[in-house]
Order: sequence, then C-alpha cells, then structure tokens
Amino acid sequence: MIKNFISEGLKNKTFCIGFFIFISVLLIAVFADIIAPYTYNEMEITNKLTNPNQQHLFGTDRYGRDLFSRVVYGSRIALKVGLIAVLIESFIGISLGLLAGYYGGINDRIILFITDLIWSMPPIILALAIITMLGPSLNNVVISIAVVSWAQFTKIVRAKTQSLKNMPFVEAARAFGENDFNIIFRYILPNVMPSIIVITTLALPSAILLTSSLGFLGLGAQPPLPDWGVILSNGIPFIRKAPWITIFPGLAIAYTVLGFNLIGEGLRDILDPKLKI
Amino acid sequence: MTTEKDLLSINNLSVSYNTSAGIVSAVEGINFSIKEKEIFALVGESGCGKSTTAYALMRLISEPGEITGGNIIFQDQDLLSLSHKEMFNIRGKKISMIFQNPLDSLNPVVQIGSQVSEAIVLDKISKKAAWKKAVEIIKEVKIPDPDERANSYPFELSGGMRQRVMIGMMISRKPKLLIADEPTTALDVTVQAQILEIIKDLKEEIGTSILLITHNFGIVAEIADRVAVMYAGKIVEIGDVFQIFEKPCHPYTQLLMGSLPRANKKEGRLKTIFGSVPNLIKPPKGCRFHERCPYSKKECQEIEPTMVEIEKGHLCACILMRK
Amino acid sequence: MNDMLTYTIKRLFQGVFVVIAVTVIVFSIMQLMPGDPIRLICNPRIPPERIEELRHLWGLDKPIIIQYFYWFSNVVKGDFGTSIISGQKVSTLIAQRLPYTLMLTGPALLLEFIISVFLGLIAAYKRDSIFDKLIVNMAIILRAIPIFWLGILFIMLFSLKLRILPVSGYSGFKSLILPLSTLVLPYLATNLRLTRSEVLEVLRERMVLTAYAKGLNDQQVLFRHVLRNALIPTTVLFFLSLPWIFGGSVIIESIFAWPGTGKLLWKSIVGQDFPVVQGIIFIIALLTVISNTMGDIIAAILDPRIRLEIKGENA
Repeated sequence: MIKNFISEGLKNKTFCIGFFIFISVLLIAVFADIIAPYTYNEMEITNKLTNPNQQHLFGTDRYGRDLFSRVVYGSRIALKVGLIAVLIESFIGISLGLLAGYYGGINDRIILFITDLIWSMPPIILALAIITMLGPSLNNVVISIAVVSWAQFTKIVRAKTQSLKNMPFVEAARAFGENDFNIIFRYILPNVMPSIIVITTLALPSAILLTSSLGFLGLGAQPPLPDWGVILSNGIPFIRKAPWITIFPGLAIAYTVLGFNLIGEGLRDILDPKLKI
Repeated sequence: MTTEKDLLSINNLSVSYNTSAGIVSAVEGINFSIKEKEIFALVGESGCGKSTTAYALMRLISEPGEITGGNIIFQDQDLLSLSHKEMFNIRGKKISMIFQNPLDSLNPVVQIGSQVSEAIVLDKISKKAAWKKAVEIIKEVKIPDPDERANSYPFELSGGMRQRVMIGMMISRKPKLLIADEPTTALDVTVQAQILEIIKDLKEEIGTSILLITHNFGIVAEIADRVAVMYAGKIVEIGDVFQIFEKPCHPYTQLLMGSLPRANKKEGRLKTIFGSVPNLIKPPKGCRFHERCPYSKKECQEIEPTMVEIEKGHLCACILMRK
Repeated sequence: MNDMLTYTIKRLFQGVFVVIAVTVIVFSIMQLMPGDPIRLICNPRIPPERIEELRHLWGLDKPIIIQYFYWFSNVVKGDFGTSIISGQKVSTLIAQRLPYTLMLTGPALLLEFIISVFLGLIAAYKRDSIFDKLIVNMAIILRAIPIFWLGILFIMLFSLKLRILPVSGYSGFKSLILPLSTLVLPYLATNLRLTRSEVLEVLRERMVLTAYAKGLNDQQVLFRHVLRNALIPTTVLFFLSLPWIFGGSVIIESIFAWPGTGKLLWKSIVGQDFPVVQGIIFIIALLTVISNTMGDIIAAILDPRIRLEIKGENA
C-alpha cells in the first residue's frame, strides 16, 4: 500500500513540487547553523541598512543584523510552531470529532455547538483575544493557534465517523462483540486517516500564516526572535530606503506556505478527492 | 409491398473513450433502424454499449468519450453533422430521453411544475400557458391532485410518480422519438407495469417511437415490437420480437433466452453464461463473443462476422449460424 | 410557510441564547486578563487609599457575579465602559471607527463574492482549459501570500514607485483602492476554489443531462440548473464566513493606517486597554452569531430539502 502511495505521489505534479519546497525549507531549518553566515542577533550598527551584497546576501536591517541569517533562522520558528500547534490541535480535534460522531446524542450536540462557535469566529480575532489574556509570546502563539484551529479537524472527522459507523463492516464488528474503543480505533480511525492527513497538511500553512500575522502585529514572537512576520514589520519604516527587509521574509512565508498547500492539494487528489477544502 | 420509411437509421456508428488505460472501443460499427410508431428494444448486459448508443444519438457524449465514425440519419438529416447549436432544436422537440433513476435525473430544488413547463416554454408558449399545460400533463400521466403536485419537489413524490413526471416532461413537445434508458430498473416491480403501460400508450396516442434500452427481457417481451441484441459494443442480432424469442439465431441470444426464468417450464437449474465481457481496449480478434461461445470454432477467432439476413427482417452476425 | 416561521423564531431564540453565553465567556475572559486595571492607569505614586476609592468607584470590589450583571446591563444599553488609554467611552470610540471599517469590509465582501462566483463558474464549466488552469493556479499562489505582505507590496508598487495611489490613511475614494484590493484578494482565492468545486459537482449530476435532453441550451442549463444548485452551498458558506473578513481588516487597517475598528483593536491590545478590546471582540462575536443564524435561515429558504428536514424535526 505504501509503495502504491509513493508511485501515485510521484505521478502527481502538485505533490512533487510541494514536497520539494517542503524539503528545501526543512533542510534550511535543520542546517540553519551551517547555512547562515551569522547568528540572528549579531548587530553591527555601523553596517545598518546596507543593500544586498557579498557579505550580506539579503542586506542588513536597522541594527546591522544580517537579514539572510535572520530569515534562515526564522524558518525554525515557523516550522516548530506550525508542527507543535498542529500536533496539539489535531489531537484535540480528532478526539472530539470521533466522540461526537460515534456517540451522537447530547455529547454530539455540545461538541458541535462549541466547534461551530469557535470555527465561525475569525481566527485572528480569537487568537488576539487569547494573546490578550495570556500575553504576547511564542508559546502563547502556539496555544492560540491550537485553540483556534482544532475545529477544522473535528468537523471533518465527525462527519466521516457518522457515515462510517453505520457501514456494514462496523455493524459486523459490533455483532461479534468488539467494544467501542476497538471499533473506533481499529475500524473507524484508519478509514478517516486519509482525510486527516489532507487536513493536517493544510493546517500547517494556516498555522504558519497565523504565527507570522501575530508576529507582524507585535503580539507573537518577541524580539529579538527572527519570526518572519516580526522581521517584516520591523522593515516597514524603511520601505523606501531598504525595501528588501520587507520583501525577503514575505517571500519566505509565501514560499513555505505554498509548499505545504501544494502537498495538501496533491494529497487530496490522491487520498480523498471529495474533500471540500 | 411498400417499405415504411425509417424514422431513424444508424449506420456504422462507433464511439470510443480515451481513458488513461487506453482507448476503449465502446461501440463499434453498429447498424439498425427504427420505424415510425415502433417500440424498438436494444438489449444486452451492463457495459455492452447500449446506453452509450443512446447518448450518442442525443449527442450527449462528453469527454473522454468521442463519436469516431458513422452517421445517424433522422428525418433526412445526419445528426452527427449538425452543429452544437442546431442540436438544441432536436433535443426535446424531435428526440427526447428519459433516464434510469428519476430521483437523480430531476433537479431536487426546483418544483416539478417548473421543470415540466421549462420544456414547454421552448416552443414559444407564454409562461402562464406553459404552467397550465404542465399541470395538464401531470394529470395525463395519472398523478392525483395535479395542481398541488405541480408545486411539489421531486423528493416529495414516489419513484413511480417521478418517472411518470419525467415521461410527461419529455413528451410534452411531442417528439417523434423517445429514448428510454432503463426506465423501470430503479422501480418496484408493481410500478414497472404502470410505467410500461404509459410507454405503450405513447406509441398509440402520440405516435412516438420508442428506443427502449434495457437488460430485462421480460419488459422486452411485454412491449417491444422489434429487438436488437448488443454484445461488447457490437450488434449481434436484430429481429422482431417473435423472431428473437422463438427463433433466436445468435448463440448469445440463445443463451440469454435460456437463462430466462420461465414459470411454466420444468427446467432444472437456471443456466448461467460463463465468463465475462471481453476487454474493450484490446477487443479479441474475430467475433467478440468467441471466448464465451459454446459453439466457437477456429474460424470464429479470425473472421469478424457481418450481419446477414437469415429471414425477412431477421439479421444475425454469426458465421456458424447461417441457415 | 408556517414551518419556516417556526424555524426562524426558534433559530433566533437560539441565537439570543448563544449571545448571552458569549457575553459570559467574554466577561470571564476579561477577568482573566493579567494585571490590576487600576494600577495600569494610575500613577504609581498615588496613595493606596485613593486607589481603593477608585476601585470602589468603578465597582471593582464587588463580587464577580454582580460585576457581570452590572456590565451586562450596560452592554445591553450599548455602554461598554470607558477606554483606559483615551478616557473616552468605548462605544463612542467604536462608533467613530466602525463606518471606516464597514467602508472597507462591506464592498470587499460584495466584490469577492460576485467575482469568485463568476470566475468559479466559468473555470468549472471550462474545466482543464487554459483559463481554468490559470485561475486555479493563481488562486493557489494567492492563498499562500500573507495578507500583510500583499498590502506592503501594493504600497511599494502603486504608492511609492508609480505614485498613483496614496500610501495610507483615509483621504477619499482613491485611498480606498489599495486596502480594498488587498482585503478582497485572499478571500477571493479561497471562495473561487470552493465555488468551482461546487459547480463541478453539480455538473456531474444526472439532472444536467436531463436539462439538455429537454432541449435547453448551454446558457439555460448553466444558469437555471447548475448555478442555481451550486449557489446554495456557496451562499450559505458566504454568510457563515462573513465575520472572517474582520480578521483581515485588523491587519489591513494597521498597514494602511486606516482609522477603523481593526486598528483600534490592535492598538488597544498592545496598550492593554481592556475595555476597548472587550467591546470590539464582543461586537464581532455578536456579528458571528448573527451571520450563523442568517446562514441557517438562508439555507432553509434556498434549499427545499432542508425545509423537509425541518418539518420532520418540528413534527
């Protein structure tokens, strides 16, 4: 089955391009120490706001920090936050979705109510509310993203679970005495997995966009952390003199998010074409 | 003896599908004709190409399908040579079609009165008059409370009623030919009889010919005048209903007849036809049926049989069964 | 029709209940805010007795439940308290800024809905054509671009380089163009894909063949059947996602120095001006509940099958 998946994957152009982008970003993040010529906080005030040149590929910012190194290290923040947030939100979202879909009744109604409420609120607004409560920091960004996004998992998992639980093979399992826990994990969950995988690959770019948006507003990662959104907003006063400070981090965000989006699209074609995302 | 003019004449029609696995030859070089006021049945198992033929007639074949050859002469016009625009004047008005599952085939969110009058309006009748006519048609197909029913939605009607509405809708403009693609397959047996009655009446009352597509020989026996048997994209036998049922010529037809459950015969077990439909991407050389044919000989694998008239109006495509 | 009325009333009541639940949540959240609000605004040299007086004056020494009811009764009257930073009433502040935000979000929503439906329909109809591939790829790329970066790029190109549009602030119609375009594009990209896939699904249905078999031509089939059916989920989704555009407006207003509620929210969070934050978030939550309720009601109006379900529930 895995072989089949790999050959299908290689045939799908979208998936391949996305995967290539993802791997390139991953490698940059992992080998940041080797790739980046400076640390992200080395200041050389005398060298501030220089144009891109041989020593500073992307130029320098207002404190003389090498922009290239900052963008490279920024990839670590983006990927780390994205990954952890998605792990948390998927765990919460899938569990609630399975519960709601399988057991139905009052549990379902409560979970559905909360899920719909949270999902219909604009994510940024909700995230801002949480940040206001907890204070701006990278950890709180992770928490906000998780709280704001688990609903997308719950909705799909719940819908799939509802349709699966009435299928003959599940009824058969019940008939020969399997308990609920087994049914959910050994029969239903594997069949929901393809959709979960697609949603996960699309939840990551949303998380990264939200992280950088919060960073941009100054309410996420705090300086001197080189979050891409932070770098970008720091460059706004210098749009005329040093436009590269706003151009390169934005490019980094777009590139990374595009990669994940393409993977998600490709996976959706392979695993679950009917998913409406 | 005067030969009646053919209403529809299909000559050497071929349709293929460009799939990723290869080019599927779904229909290959078929010929048959339908007269006026005739119920013509096209029978065969699933996948033999009968529905494809019907869609080709209506020029409703879409990618990756393609009509690759032949002509369809209808009222002295070759339908295949008409432009996309000109076909809009043919469909519904001259040739019409009803489909298998009326729940899927009607728009679930539009009232049935609107769906019926939508067709009528095309003949330059005012909306009001068209609605009145639509209610009349709903009455004609024996649906109670036609005024109220016209305001209902498809899911509020039973399967039989929906199919009747379909039929009413499709003959509202009095087409010369109605194609019925498996009209009763999705319905209960009791409802089947009603629908067949209506179809039979169409021939008498409006003078419409029917091309009946089905895999159910029972229906064929009940209402068809002439029959064509299809196998793997080719027509293997044509005849009137008595010839086909009492003197089937082609081995495939004979086998189909033999596997009909007959209540009055003391047959033992139901004979089944072994094997399955051949791969249409690489159809077997020679006769397409030879792999499943109990009589097949060496020549069958090499020579492609042509349709030969074995008696008046009865044609058969088998090199062994020439009588 | 009676069923629809019953359903609408039921949904409205549910909506009110949800709004009350939201007020409880919002109020509780605000209680969890860090820091003592009094100390935040007061000069640290003020003697503690004076601070206690202020605390009493503002009712901050009463039990929480009483504070809640006090707050709730004010909210119902439209009074969200006073801004810590500016001293003005929160409701005044919001009322001043709201028109500017609506000036952006209103047209943005309309534009993106109309354009996305139009383009989505054509793309689906001409599936796999060059036009379709172009549209889909553009949408994919657009969705990857962060909205704040897009805004800045627009400013760089149109304001700084080409000098045809103002950089920021509100100064009449011309100043609306850039922020509006930036706001429209990302949501346009998402809705376009959705409409396209809805239309594709409808095109696959048998009833499209029936429509052709009746003798309808391409336009008639496309508009009377395909679009009509595909618009049902599209429109409902539009209503459900109405509040989302306020999220985008926060960022847009901060980039373009647009004097709206989005920028106010941002400034208030940064400045820890909790009453203002509370007020704006409450209003957005209210809007969310309203658009959800409207979405449900519209779904029932457009789709008779949902009305059937409702009949069954009421029975």
